Amino acid sequence: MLRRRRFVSLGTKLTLSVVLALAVATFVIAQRLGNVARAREIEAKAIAASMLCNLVVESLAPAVDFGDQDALTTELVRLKKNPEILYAGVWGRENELPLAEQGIRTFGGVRPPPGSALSIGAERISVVRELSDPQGASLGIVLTEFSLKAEIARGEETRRQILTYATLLGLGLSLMVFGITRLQVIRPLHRLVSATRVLEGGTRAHVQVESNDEIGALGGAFNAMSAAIADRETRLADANRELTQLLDNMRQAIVVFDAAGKLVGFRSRQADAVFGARELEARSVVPLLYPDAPDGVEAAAFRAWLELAFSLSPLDFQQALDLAPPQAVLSDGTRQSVLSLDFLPLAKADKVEQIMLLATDISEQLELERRVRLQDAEHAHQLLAMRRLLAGGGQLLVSLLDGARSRVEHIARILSAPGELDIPAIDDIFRKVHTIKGEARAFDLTELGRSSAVLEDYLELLRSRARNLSRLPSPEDRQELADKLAEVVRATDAAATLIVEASPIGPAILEQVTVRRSDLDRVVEIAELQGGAIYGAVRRLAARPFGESLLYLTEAVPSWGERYGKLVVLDVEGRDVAIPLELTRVLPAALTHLARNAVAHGIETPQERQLTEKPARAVIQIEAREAHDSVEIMFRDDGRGLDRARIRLAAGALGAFGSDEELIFVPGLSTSAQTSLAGRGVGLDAVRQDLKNVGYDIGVASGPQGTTFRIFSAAAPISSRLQAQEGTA
Amino acid sequence: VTKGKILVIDDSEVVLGRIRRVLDQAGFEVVTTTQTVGAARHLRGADLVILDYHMPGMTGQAVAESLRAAALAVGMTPDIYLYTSDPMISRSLPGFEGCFAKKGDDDALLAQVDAAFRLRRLREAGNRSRGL
Repeated sequence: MLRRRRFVSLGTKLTLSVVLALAVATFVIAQRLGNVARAREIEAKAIAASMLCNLVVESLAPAVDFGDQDALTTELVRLKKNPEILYAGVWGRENELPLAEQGIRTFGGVRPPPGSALSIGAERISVVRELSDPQGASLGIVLTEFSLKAEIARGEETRRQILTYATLLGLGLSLMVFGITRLQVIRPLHRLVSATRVLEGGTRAHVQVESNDEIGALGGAFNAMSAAIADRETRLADANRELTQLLDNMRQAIVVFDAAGKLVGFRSRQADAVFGARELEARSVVPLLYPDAPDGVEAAAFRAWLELAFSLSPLDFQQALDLAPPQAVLSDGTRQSVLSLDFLPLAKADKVEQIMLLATDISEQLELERRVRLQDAEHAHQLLAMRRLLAGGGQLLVSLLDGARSRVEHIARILSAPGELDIPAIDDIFRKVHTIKGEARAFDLTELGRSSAVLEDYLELLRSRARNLSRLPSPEDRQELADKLAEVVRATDAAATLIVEASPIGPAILEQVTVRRSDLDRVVEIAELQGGAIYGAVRRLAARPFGESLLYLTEAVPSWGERYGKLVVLDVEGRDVAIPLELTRVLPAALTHLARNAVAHGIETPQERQLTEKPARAVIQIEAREAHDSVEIMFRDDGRGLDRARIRLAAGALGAFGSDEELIFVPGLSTSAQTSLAGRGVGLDAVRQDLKNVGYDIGVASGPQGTTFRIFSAAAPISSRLQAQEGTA
Repeated sequence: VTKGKILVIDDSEVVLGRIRRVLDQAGFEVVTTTQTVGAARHLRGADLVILDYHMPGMTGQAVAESLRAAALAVGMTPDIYLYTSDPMISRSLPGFEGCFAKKGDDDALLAQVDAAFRLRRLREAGNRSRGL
């Protein structure tokens, strides 16, 4: 187990070691020196004692020789007066007991062994000397013991002095070591430590390098490292800034959250825009995604997912993504934004620590897709209707429906007739139904085809029963047949409605017949020569429904709008109004021109329209109506109206004068840059000229809410002239 | 293969038609009924039940109770959600897994149904990992 150890300064450690080493050395040296000094003292004492004993022997020998006890005692008492002498004893030749003694001996009254000897004990020196008469004959022995107390004390004193001096020397040395360490090691190291702290704080640090030793080298290395770190930090910061910029520039709002759902660390600038800076202060991801319903089922599912996602290893995270919310919808009261959500695991040590949420606002994309889908559907629908009708299918379809109706009536009559429904009757019904089914399928009338197939299957069943089991249909079977027939009738009506809806000329399609244009032109020519009522009737016959003049426009206007980034719908009224033959020859081109101008110039983009509080979707309304003996066509758009300033500028350049409404018809006048759709300056004057050639004229009224063109019969139209002729004829 | 089966109970055919169309297009199998009594016979295979609250004769709560009893009897555990925009009702919901809000907003309905299915799968995954 790792235990945090207390901080002990390097200086203290060094000093303590020095003190310890010095103490041990001092003690050993003092001990040794003390011992040497004491040994010297004792040696000197032993020599002195030996010499003194030699003198004592001289003075004691006569007393022993003469057996003079008193003199012997007196001599010993005198000797004992010397404080150094602890004991003195004299033995005769044979006696075990001493002849005389003074003081206390170390070992009782035992006679020492004969012969001279000197022995040194712990506290005393014993000297034995032979007593002899002048002839050299042995008289006895003398034992003298000297105290060593003084010598021992002196030795101790010497040792104490050595100890004192050594201690003082040791202290001095320690102080010196401490000072040097502090100055040369500790202080530079302190500087390094504080520089490291500065470095940890993220600031570049530099230490003053003064010494030329290891510490100096360390300082140099530190400075180099600090510079390298600072450099790396700078590069890292640059990289981070670039990453942040990159993420900021992505359209994704990025936030990071932990297992508790708390937002942590980085968030992209887009996050502020998408979620709102204030909402981000909530610091939690759940209310961020589900601000309206933090307790709703979506928030609950998200919380459950968080629990799962953070319990998985990063490798298994992919599995969790299936259960992550794919989208979230934020609403700020006025507009909804749909966010597409992506989640990335941020792992540390094989564990998902945090999750990065990348939210992309896909509202515009969804809206665009929806618009395209709508347009596609509309387009397909129109194309299909167009294809059938252009192929003359309009009339064919109508006749198919008429045929289907009469067949249904025929079947209904058979069913309601009294009597049994026999095999020939069933066969008759079967043939009729089969025809309806075949025709319906040929024209893709799905519902009619399906219902007639159901009826046919049932008839097949009844027929086989009748043939094989000789069992004719019961009243219940008849009822069943009638019900299925009703389905066919319903499908027929639905098909008729569809045809009228799809028809560019409206319900008139149900009454159309197809003739060759060349035949018709020939008839008109002949009738014109004859004049009179027949000519009027032929002209009416030659007239075409207004819807036909718009065949191209219905398809073109939405696609022009797409090209110009504008939303435009075409609204047509009076599809079945009969347009005189001569007008049908110029009307499609004229209307196409007006529509192109409107889409390219008059109609604003959805953004511009929102600024002027108009609906984003612009409407071009084209209406045909019968007026007096002729027709009148109104072409309206709800765009920005005529650009009067430009018209005058352009007119001024051409030297033309008049009202704006007249100036736009001046030949060569163009207000806009040339585009592929409009703006070549040949146009409205050509339109007017074309119309005038067939007896019609065009006028305009314009305001900020739109422009209206009116195509009307000129003052003396051919038709009125003709009618006048008719009147006079 | 559908994304799951949903039983929707509401007293308005108009509402049901709309919900049916939305969920059908999103790939769910949808069964709808205006019948509060005997609704349990439509329960077979349903993962989710969406209930209106105000219905003639019976509250959504009573319907939920009877459905749950019927489901338990055949060993099914459908998730039952209330569908209302009334915050007063959505606040206390004994007997319901939760509440779908914003009634009438088709996109919001789809998002909530998706979330309910995710929640169901997450719960199942949780039960599996706990060994239940």
